[in-house]
Amino acid sequence: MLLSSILIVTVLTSIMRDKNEYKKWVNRISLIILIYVLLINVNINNISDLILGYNIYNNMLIINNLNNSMINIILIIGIIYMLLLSYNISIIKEIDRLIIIRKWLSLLIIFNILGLILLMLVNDLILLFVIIELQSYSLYLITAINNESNNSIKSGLYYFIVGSLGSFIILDGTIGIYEDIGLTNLEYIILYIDNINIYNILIILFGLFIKIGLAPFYNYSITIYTLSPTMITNYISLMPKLSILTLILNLINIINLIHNNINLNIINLISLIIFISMIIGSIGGMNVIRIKTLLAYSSLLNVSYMLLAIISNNNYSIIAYLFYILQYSITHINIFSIILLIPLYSNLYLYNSNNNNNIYNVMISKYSPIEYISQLKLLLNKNICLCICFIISIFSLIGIPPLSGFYGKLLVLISSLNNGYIFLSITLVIVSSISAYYYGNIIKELSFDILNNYNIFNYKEYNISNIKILNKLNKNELNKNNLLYNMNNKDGDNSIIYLNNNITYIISVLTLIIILISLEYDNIIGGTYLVLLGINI
Amino acid sequence: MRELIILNFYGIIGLIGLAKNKLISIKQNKNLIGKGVLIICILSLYLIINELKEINLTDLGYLRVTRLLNINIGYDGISLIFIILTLYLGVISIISNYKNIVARKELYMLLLMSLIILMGLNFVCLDLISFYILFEITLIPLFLIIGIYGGSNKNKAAYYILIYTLCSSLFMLLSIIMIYILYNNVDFITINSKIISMELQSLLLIGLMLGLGVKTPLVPIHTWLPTVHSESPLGGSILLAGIVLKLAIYGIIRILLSNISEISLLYAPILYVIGIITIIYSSLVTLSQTDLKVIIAYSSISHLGVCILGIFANNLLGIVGSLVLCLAHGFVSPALFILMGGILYDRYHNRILFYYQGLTQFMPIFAIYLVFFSFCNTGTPLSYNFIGEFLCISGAIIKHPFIGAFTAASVILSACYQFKLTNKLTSGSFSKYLSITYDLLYREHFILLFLAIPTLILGIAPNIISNLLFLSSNALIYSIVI
Repeated sequence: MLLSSILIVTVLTSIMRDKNEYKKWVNRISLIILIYVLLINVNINNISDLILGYNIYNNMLIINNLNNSMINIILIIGIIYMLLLSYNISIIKEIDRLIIIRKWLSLLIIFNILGLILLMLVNDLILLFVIIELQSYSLYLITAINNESNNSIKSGLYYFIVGSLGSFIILDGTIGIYEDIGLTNLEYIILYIDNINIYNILIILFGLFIKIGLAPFYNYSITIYTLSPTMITNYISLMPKLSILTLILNLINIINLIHNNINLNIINLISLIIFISMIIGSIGGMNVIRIKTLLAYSSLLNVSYMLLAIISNNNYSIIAYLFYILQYSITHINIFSIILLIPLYSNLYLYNSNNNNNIYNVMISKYSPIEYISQLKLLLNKNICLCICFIISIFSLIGIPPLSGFYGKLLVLISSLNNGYIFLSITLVIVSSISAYYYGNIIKELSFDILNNYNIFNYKEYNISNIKILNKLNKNELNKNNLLYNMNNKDGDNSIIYLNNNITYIISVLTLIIILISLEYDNIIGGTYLVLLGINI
Repeated sequence: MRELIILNFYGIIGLIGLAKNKLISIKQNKNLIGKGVLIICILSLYLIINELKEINLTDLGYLRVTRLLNINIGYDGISLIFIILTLYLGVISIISNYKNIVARKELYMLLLMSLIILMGLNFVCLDLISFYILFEITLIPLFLIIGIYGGSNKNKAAYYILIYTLCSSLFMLLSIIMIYILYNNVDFITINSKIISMELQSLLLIGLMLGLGVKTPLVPIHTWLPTVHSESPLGGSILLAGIVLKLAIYGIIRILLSNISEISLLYAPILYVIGIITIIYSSLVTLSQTDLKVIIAYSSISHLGVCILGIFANNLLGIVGSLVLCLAHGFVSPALFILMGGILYDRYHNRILFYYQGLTQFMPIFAIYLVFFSFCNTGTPLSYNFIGEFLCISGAIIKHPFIGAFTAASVILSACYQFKLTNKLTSGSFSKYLSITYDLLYREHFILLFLAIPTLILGIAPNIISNLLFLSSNALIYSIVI
């Protein structure tokens, strides 16, 4: 289905005229495709059929419960992302260049989702290399999609160089295994697992660690996430991690089948990596002033938590991994969509490309208007509901109960303590309280100035310029009452710019999931336990 | 209990809804949310006092257990007393901030009310995980209250409470998870009936004491408390001093004394030494402080040290004494905070001790209340504090005669710092740095009176409360029955 739909979208993309309105139509079609794929997947694969898991395409791919549920999660996250792309952000079309996209972005995203889904199903090492290239190349293209922007090109090239290094390290490990036993299929490798040099699997794992940017190889990912446009960062900092971590989970399950000292050595090496990435993820974010850099460090931290759950190898590890990745991606998407909305409330010169005297345009780029943490102050007096949503998401990342982040952390701690990783659990505790400092910094910027009315005072110039622009815009779009209301309102500014229903719906649903997850916690755990049934640990 | 929770939940939701939709216009009806919150709080206080009639004093164990949202809730005598204290102080803290916060009062009142409700729920939950959740969830309203409405140093105070409390209670979470892995169950009743091996118990004790010791607070980890108490707005510091500190004592009762009692008896000498260091050190530090609110905050550290000594005494005198002292401190310390941080700060807008002198001449009623509560705080007979401190010290001396004897130092030392403060404020000539202002308002008079009455009445007839406590405290004593 995905393959055939790619054809359709390709044809459409080539036909279509280059206008914002038409781009949205293509995005909507790809949104429908994604929803259709999700429905088909839910209908075909159910839990009772997949308990043993079956091989498809000549034993190249294997599909079991864990993969299936991760496919669903990836598709759902992809649908939410596509919803952000495909609808107008506000009711006024003229200023709706908030999300600057190329017309072929949706095509690339569908390619990438195909790669991500196949990557989790991999059962053969040759196919692993092929699919990881499919997934990575589309990611490089997505990163560099805004090709007028210097930063975007830079990050794309950087990603390409480091990512291809990672791919070749994976190929190296594959060759090592093939040299030993002449096999590439993972099922056969499991049979002869005692004959091969197990460090080759470790080399494959290291290649994957480079791809998701874990600690010794973390520098490039933070640069990329900072430089690329916000809309793109939203995608590339979350989606590859979902599938690559699942692949790592499968590989570590293979490693755990060996019962000798080498196994212990490998687990110790991986736990060293986890330790380093926890420390760097917490301390690195301390003095950061850019919001996207901060979120990059926080994602490094969260990935290391998930890896801790993965290596602990007991019943709780898969439950913890599934729950944590679900809640983390919800929180992540929520935070990024709010960050994408904030520019609506700053000055509108950015979106008015005809105007040449852009006085405010010195620091701020068109592609990522919200660059610094201090810019978040805008949100407080303009839209308090969004501000509350943002604060709730940040509290969830800190891990304060009863928000979803706490339950994820609880399950990770349960799985790691169950296996006796006391040192790593204590590290997790210390690290999460260090990271509370920089999350607290965001909350400070967001809410502590509520009494000073800092915003009204400081951004008055912005307001005047905004009102002028709005007047210049097509007058049919705004009715006069709104404008009059706006002029009378003292602290009024962009308050005529209402958000689109769709966006508000997404953000409110995600926030409610974060808050109310404690009510359905037992059911969610039961559901993830069902996923466990097919997987033999 | 169910009615209480439903009342609070719907009340808060309804208030927010009314205010948002402007069904009742706020401009005509000033302070609408403040009034609504006050009504909800008083109604729930009425409901919970009605519960006193329903229960039977001779029933052992948790009473009136119900299940709400997958959580078992119920209470025994100790919990009931603490909930009543919480709601009582809740009413007082809402009234105390009724006038002096001007901007964004609605948000403040809602945060305060949610803080009260969550802390009240903490005393009724019946399993470890939900205890931890409710223990931690108070961080959100506290962080926001201190960060938004705090004093000049509010950022530091907000970070202090976030990071200190989060870090320490995550260690507590590790211990709780350890218990969960062992039993696959965290219900109080289930885990009370089992014994963990001694090696594991000592590990658990370290984790749990880190979490509870920061909230209590014990000496090496007490530094967050003076800053936070002095910088937070008045209602926040009333609730912090009155209830948040008692959460730790309650946690010790529920987790340490009933689950890992062997090791907490074995390590009692170490905890005693820490307690005595807390008492003496914090009392000496108090003598050199100049900030009025910081003085009160440090004095509450030393009183909580006495509570710690009593609770680990393993006899009825000590345990009941420490609960009584908690209750008494919950009346007196908020009153002192209202006197210092509320009344004096509202009038003169500074908290430095040296500016004030001779307030008796122009504020006689204030001086009367100040002297009364100072005497109560030092533990003079006829006050409820006297009974608590007397029982605590005698319990500690029975347990360890030599170490316990040091506890008596707290009486002398608290008299030292308290009367240094009171003397400076009330006696002498009127300070030339101060302008003459009015005496207590009716609102302040009302609050102080309603804090003074229970202190005095319970000091004369302590049996009213102690009867509730005896049976459930008896269950906490560790003894081997042959």
